[in-house]
Amino acid sequence: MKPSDTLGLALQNVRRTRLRTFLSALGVAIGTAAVVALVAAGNGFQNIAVDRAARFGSLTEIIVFPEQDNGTPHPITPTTVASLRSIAHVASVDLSLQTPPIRVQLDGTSADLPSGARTPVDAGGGVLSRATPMPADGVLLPVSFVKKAGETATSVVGEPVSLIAGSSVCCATDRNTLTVLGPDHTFQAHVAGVYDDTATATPADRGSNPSIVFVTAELGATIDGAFGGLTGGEYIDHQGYSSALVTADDARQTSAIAETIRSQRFRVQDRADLLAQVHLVFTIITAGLAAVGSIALLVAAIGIANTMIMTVLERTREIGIMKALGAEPGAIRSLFLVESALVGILGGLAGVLFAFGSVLLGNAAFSRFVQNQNPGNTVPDLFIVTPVLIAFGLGLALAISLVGGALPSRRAVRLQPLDALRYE
Amino acid sequence: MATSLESVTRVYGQGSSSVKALADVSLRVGDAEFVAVMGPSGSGKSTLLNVIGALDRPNRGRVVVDGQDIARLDARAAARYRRRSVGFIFQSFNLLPRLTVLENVALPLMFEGVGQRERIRRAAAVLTEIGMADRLGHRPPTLSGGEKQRAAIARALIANPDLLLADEPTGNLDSNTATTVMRLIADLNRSRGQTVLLITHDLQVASYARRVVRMRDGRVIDGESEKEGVHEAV
Repeated sequence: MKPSDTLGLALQNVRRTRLRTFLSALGVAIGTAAVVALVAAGNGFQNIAVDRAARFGSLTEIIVFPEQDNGTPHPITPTTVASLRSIAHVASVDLSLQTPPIRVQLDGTSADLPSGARTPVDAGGGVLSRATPMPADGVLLPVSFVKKAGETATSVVGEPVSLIAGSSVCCATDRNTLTVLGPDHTFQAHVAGVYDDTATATPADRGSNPSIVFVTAELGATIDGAFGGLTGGEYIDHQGYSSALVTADDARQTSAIAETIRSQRFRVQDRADLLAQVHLVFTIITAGLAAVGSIALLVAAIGIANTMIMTVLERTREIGIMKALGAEPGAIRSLFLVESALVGILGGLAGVLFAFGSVLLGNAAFSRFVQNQNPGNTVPDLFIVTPVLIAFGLGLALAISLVGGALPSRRAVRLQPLDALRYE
Repeated sequence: MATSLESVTRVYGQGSSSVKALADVSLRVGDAEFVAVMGPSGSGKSTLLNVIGALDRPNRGRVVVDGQDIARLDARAAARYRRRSVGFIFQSFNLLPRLTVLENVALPLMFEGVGQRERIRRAAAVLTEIGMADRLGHRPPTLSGGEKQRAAIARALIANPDLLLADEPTGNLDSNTATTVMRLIADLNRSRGQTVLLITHDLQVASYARRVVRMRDGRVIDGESEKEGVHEAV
């Protein structure tokens, strides 16, 4: 029997029992809509969670360190930085360099402070003032030192400042700083800004280590290079930066960017694991929601099985006639399975359409609610329906209808032709 | 198509409630022969027909049709045998009421995988041959008893089988219509050379056959040889 004839006969039978088909398909539609809507909600929750988590920043950040490449140093040079900036979805690349403790001299006041070099020098929180434009020899001072020198956060910006690095500079205050052996070197710089290192500032605004003097990476390279008789440029080309902070424009791209950088033989630290955990948790939640929705589909499958068993009973004599006329078992099985599948496809299509409409309404209502509660605040969609989800919903409806039709079609196949012909 | 039953037994049920519908029946039907099977109700006539048509399986014995023991066929092969080698004509017609006459007649060809255009063409030709050309689009409930049976005969002929099995084909027909139907079957036997095995209670109907086999209590009691002629087919 040709598939087109099986389909034609099945369509004829389905049309003949319109009400019964409608009711069975309605069950499938409700189940499919429940699965699609709940999974769409799971997708939405996941998206919102990732979006919110990404706003903490760290999820978009990747720290890149130089790596030993078979014993040969593989430094982060300006060429490397250009390469990092060219990677898709990289929003910025901030550079940092380890520098020795520095004696800062401003208006006759001096203090020995641990130091760090970074570009941009005013990266991080708690910046109270900054120079425009930022000088290449810029220094970001802690406000506690500025006050001690009798200046204010704004008055000191642009002022010349002397920096001394060398063995006479006290380095006992911070065990993490480099110990420099050698004669003192003095560097002239300008105040690029002031940041809040006081106890009243919040930890986030104060920075990770209070009372550090920050210099630009260029100035840091000059300071580090001076101890080896190198210019700043020569030092960077040879030694490279201590690390680079790569920021992605989308938290979902962090892992891919990290992988790209890793493939360039650099050591990478990112929060991809955390993001993966967020994804995992919400994947489990989504699967749970899908399972809840599937209960409705399971009920629909039982409905289809019941309907099809009734159909087989009603058409027992017809099955007998078809068998007497030479219909093979496969043809009988296909006929009833195709009838079940038609119910599943009809119900699945209706369910997906219904879910899609509900999702549109739900997203609009959620957006309006958020706007009312927090004017000007935008949030991602609460429900997300993807083409894969639509295909999944339709596939599930079809599968469940075939499961529902399996037992009745088996009964039809196993009917003895003679018993079926004699059935009243 | 030569058909022979060799010591065929068919028992329904088990134990004390079992019924022996066929008891060690042996019978031979020659190629293009027209045989009528007669006997009282419960004598095993229909079981004999069903076993030959592979609608039922004997418990013991062989049913050899054209050299093949059809009692040993699996469900798929039995379906193929019924579709290609056997044409059934039932007392109650067994037409599908929701299909047209044309579609009913074409049904065996559909199960054979013949394309729609070809099977409709062949069904129309057979229906025209038996005088039903004006009823192609009708559905069975709108036909008379004689028309229904003629449609059923057309369906039995559509695959051009070697064996026609008719179970009381005139049982639901008035005498005039019964005569028409029997003439048609006898003509087909002569013109197409198809073997016909027909069950009837009616001597008049049996008179169209060249041989009458009589059965009682599941056994063949008479008719191994050709009859001398109760009625000559017209």
